[in-house]
Amino acid sequence: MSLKAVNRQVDGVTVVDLNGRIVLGEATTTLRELLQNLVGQGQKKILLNLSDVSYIDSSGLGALVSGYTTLTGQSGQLKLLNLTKKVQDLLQITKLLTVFEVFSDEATAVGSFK
Amino acid sequence: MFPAERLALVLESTHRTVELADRILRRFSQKAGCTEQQQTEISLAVREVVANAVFHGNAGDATKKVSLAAEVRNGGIVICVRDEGEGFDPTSLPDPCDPANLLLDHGRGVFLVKTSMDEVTMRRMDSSGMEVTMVKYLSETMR
Repeated sequence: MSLKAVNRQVDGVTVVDLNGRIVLGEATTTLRELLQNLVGQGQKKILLNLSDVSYIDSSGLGALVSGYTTLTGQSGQLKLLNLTKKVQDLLQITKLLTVFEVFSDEATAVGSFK
Repeated sequence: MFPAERLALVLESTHRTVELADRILRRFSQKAGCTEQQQTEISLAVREVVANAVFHGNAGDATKKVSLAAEVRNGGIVICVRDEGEGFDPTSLPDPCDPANLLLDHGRGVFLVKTSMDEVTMRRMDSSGMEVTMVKYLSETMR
């Protein structure tokens, strides 16, 4: 299943609703290109909604980390919203929960951007 | 449910092999009686090991193969993946959870394999390539 992404603007924050699996191949390429394009368009407050992401592998984690470093390197912010238990567990064991700001409520997440 | 079964495949060194191996082992583990969580953990480990075999071990060389074998044995699913590459020293891999490595966009595959499976053995074969053997016990009491 390919990764689908729909962007919307909420109070100056780009919320990206992702649907599918973020795994090696087309899906991680899609995510990396999406984030690069958003940064290229000057959108530096990005919230990834992962509520419909069922599965992430190491390549997908790499794409998330790459997006995070790209954004922070340009004074931007990349945050995560609505992790499933599987994805939450994955970020926990890889200690990436210490890197990403994670939210379970969209309004709170949007309001956290500076 | 069906009695103990085994499979053995020789696969191409292509990206499709990762998806194929994932699908085959997911079906195998489901029929063997694994829970949904066990199937997900096996799926993740298989994807990571086969991807390493294809892209790192065999370096995408189409003339080199990936061998995949699985069987139900001693209360667990035993999965073995071999490549035909140079092999590597698994003890030389950096810890992806070290704060100095957290922002790297690679290097988490083997770590995820080890955390997903109950037993993992990696060895460089005398002939060529790496052999990774992984076990997932069907019952928690077997661990």
